[in-house]
Amino acid sequence: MDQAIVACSTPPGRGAISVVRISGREAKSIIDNLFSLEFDHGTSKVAETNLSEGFNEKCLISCFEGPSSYTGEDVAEISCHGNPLIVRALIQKCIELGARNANPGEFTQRAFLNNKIDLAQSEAVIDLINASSSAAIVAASKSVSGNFGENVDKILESLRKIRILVESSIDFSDQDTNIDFMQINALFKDFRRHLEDFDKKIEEGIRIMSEHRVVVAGPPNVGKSSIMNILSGEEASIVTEIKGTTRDPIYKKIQIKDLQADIYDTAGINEETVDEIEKLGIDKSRSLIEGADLILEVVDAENMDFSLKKDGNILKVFNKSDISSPPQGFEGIVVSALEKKNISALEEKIYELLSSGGSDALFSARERHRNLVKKAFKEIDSCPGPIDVKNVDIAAEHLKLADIFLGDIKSPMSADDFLGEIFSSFCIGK
Amino acid sequence: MKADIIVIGGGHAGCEAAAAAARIGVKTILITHKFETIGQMSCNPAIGGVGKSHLVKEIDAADGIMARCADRAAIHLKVLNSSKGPAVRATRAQADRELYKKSVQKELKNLENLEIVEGEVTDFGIQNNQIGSVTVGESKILKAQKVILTTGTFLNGKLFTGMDNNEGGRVGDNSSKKLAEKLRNIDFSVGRLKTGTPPRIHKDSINWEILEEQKGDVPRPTISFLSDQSIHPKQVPCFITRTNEKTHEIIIGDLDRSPMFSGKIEGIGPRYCPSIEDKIFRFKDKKSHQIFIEPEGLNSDLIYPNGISTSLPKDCQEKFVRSIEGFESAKITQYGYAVEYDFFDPRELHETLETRKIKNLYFAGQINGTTGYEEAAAQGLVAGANAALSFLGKDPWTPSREESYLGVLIDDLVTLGTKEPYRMFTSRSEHRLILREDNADQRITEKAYRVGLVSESRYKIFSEKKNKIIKEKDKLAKLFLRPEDEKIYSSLKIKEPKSATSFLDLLKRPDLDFQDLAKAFSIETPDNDIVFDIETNQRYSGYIKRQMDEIEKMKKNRNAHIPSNFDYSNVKGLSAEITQKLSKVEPKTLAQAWRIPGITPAAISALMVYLKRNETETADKNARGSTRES
Repeated sequence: MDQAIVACSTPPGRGAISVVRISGREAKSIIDNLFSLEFDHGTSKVAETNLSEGFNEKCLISCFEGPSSYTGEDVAEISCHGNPLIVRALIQKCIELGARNANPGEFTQRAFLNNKIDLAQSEAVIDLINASSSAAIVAASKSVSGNFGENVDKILESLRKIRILVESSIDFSDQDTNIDFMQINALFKDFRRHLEDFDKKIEEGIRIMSEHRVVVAGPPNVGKSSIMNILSGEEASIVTEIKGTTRDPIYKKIQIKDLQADIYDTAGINEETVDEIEKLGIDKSRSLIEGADLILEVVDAENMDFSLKKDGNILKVFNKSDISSPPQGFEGIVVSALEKKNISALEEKIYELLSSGGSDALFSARERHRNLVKKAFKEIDSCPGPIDVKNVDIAAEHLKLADIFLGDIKSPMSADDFLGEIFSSFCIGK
Repeated sequence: MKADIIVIGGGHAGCEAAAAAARIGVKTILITHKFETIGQMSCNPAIGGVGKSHLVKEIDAADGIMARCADRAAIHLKVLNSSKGPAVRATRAQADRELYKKSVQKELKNLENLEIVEGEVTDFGIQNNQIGSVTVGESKILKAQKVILTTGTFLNGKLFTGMDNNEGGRVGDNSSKKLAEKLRNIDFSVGRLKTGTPPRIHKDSINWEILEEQKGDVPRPTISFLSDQSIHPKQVPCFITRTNEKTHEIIIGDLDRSPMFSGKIEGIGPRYCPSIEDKIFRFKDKKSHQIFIEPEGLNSDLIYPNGISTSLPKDCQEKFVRSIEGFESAKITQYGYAVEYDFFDPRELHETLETRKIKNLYFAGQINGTTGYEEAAAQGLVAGANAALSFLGKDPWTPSREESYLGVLIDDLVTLGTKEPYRMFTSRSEHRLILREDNADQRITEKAYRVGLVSESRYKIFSEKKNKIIKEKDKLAKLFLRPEDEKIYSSLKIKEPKSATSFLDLLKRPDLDFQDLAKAFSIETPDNDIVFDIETNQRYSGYIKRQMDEIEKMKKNRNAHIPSNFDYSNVKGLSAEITQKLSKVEPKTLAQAWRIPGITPAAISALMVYLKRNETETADKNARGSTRES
């Protein structure tokens, strides 16, 4: 076991409870020293420790003996009162007793190095922490428990079936193995379909993990900024009655029920403007609109013929219902930002549109996975086809490379730099 | 009698080892039980085959003896995979056993620095974990600086036919029991393997009329780069027959009398070349297995039915053989048997094949867990060369897996070890398109020459070929097909090129070959081997470039060097089990560590992180050091 590491595993700041986590060689002796406690696996006990003269802190200590712990080492989790000063004093005590400060992600890194989880699972742990919707949480937790890894294994298995036949046709040609190229090509087709399917699942797994992006767009001065301010509950955008006040896109986080999203205010799209700076702002708005998961197209009575002329997830919002009414047959949500009328209906609709179709992700995934699958795809698609006696040597090369790329999803051999990257994207204490 | 190097054993490993050491110019003694069995082919009378021929060509490129002896004995030659790409084509020769043996014996006799001694080695002189002599017979002590042990299946060899078994290394030859005992005392990790042979049949008792004939290839390939067809003796055909349901019935009925199935044999046999009882038992739905009928030699009365190796009792062998088409009245002259023997865990060897435990002692061949003449000879070459180089105080010669099957073989053995008899396959190499039969000389000869393995005359021939290729390529790179050359491209039946394209680039197209292009351009076609080399390299060029890039990338990423005597206990996150495994193999690079069975990706990452950090720290220190100096 390595030298113990210690860190606060709950967010910094004041709260009801903070958790200080210790993992490693000295965990047992630290607990013994601090609390005079026996280190019993799987138990939680209340005990006191003296942190400064005249101050005893009462804590709850949970003990997990390695290898049956998160990191695979001896782990103790100390729940104390959520005061940064108490937390600091507790960590200081641990360091005096032989631990050192943990680096970001070091607990999970140790779990990985101790073979408790594979790389894809480590990545999923971060995803689980950062998940911003319940669907994302479900997907990430599926990955943590190995769902994603199993899918990778299945894909690899079906690739290896082909490779065994292809390689046998080369290495055992002097024996009556009778390799059937029809069978190879049939399996190849199956595999390609599986890979395509897997690629889609990965897309979905990435999509579900990505932050939702809501963009508020529309002509100038229809009250886009006011709507955003109401939704985010903060005065983020400067609201004036002058056209083109919002030049740089501004975003805020909004939370509707269990769903988190980034909401972007954009410059009003004023086609007639001659102001260079305003024009730049409009360009930015357009590119934001391109990447949006949901567009709130805001209009008022004076701008009813405005349209982004775009397909996709668009919600029409009619503002200023306090001074006007939408025309007959208006399809969308009618609100008054000024009087904060019908805002909850707007929120409800946003929630509905953002969470639709997102719950069937089988696992969470990342860009790195997608890139490896794309690389494997490239090999499969440049494989000569149909595979026959004449091209089997070349086909074998492509299949081998595809195998290497797909294998890299779970094992980190071909790129060594991303390892550090992965673990440093954790917060300290995880 | 004194020698600098002693080679024990006169099989394919021993012969190649002795010849290599002698070629480098070191006084060598080869000790064998009987002079007349030197170079004996104990199993099937064939050399080469997919993967194996790649090794033979590499041995030849280092001026080893196997290929040219095989050519002198080749009575039937074929190129396997001939309809597939050049990288996987493989030459196979049926060899006349007598001619092969005689040819090897002649080669060895002609070597200046080599002496051959008949006798049984009974003991080693080992002091302070270093070998210095061997005892022959009762008490004759021979001193040597290096000893190469190539005892094949003779260590504790046991022969099985049915429920009978007796000690022996091969039918008619004793096993080396004393030596095995001595070696077991040295604390080498020892395992048991088994291999088998089929019954031999008198050729006059076979009904040839009804058998399918297979002729050798025309034009006839050669094994050695330097041979031409005139070296080959008379050519004869091979024949094919098959087992049938009756055969299978007989064998299944007698399985309880098989030493394999009754548990008498503990050794693990090769999955790739199973006994007939094994094949029938494992592939129950296969109604028939092919038997390749190989002639034992031009003057031999025997044939070798390849595909029915067995250790079933004699009466069962008679019965099932006679159930096979063409063998109805077959006369078995020697029954099939299984051999079980000791081997030592090759992970206890350096890349030079010197043992880690005993300095100056080398192991080569089946003793390291391999099967096959070619695999044995390849190790003999490497062990012999390195023993000689080490004696001379020179750097070792360790071909890498990126440049040769020799490297793949040695690296696999010392890194992975083996659980079953190891044989070469092209799929064991990551760089199959580069490691071809046809370019073995381009890959090996230059380096082998530099360590003294290659004769001046061979090197001259090699250099001439190399220069011819360079000159021809230069010429073809400057020969262009231009959009206005309508006559040329229409005769090639291709579209008008968009811009001037060189002859060399046109060769990359799968629909054009050298001959057609030469005709269209009205240029002379160079020698076949030159054409083949250029054509193949051009055709594969895109892939070769990629493989080269891959090799480079791998070298950079994975060939992070692990210092010798590296203390794995310093690396965070390695389990005791993994630390032990790594310490046993002592991998030289990260890539090698990665291939050790049981090493987890996480362990590799931990090692990678550790080495990277150390590298950076060392670099920092160096940088600081140099600043101070300046």
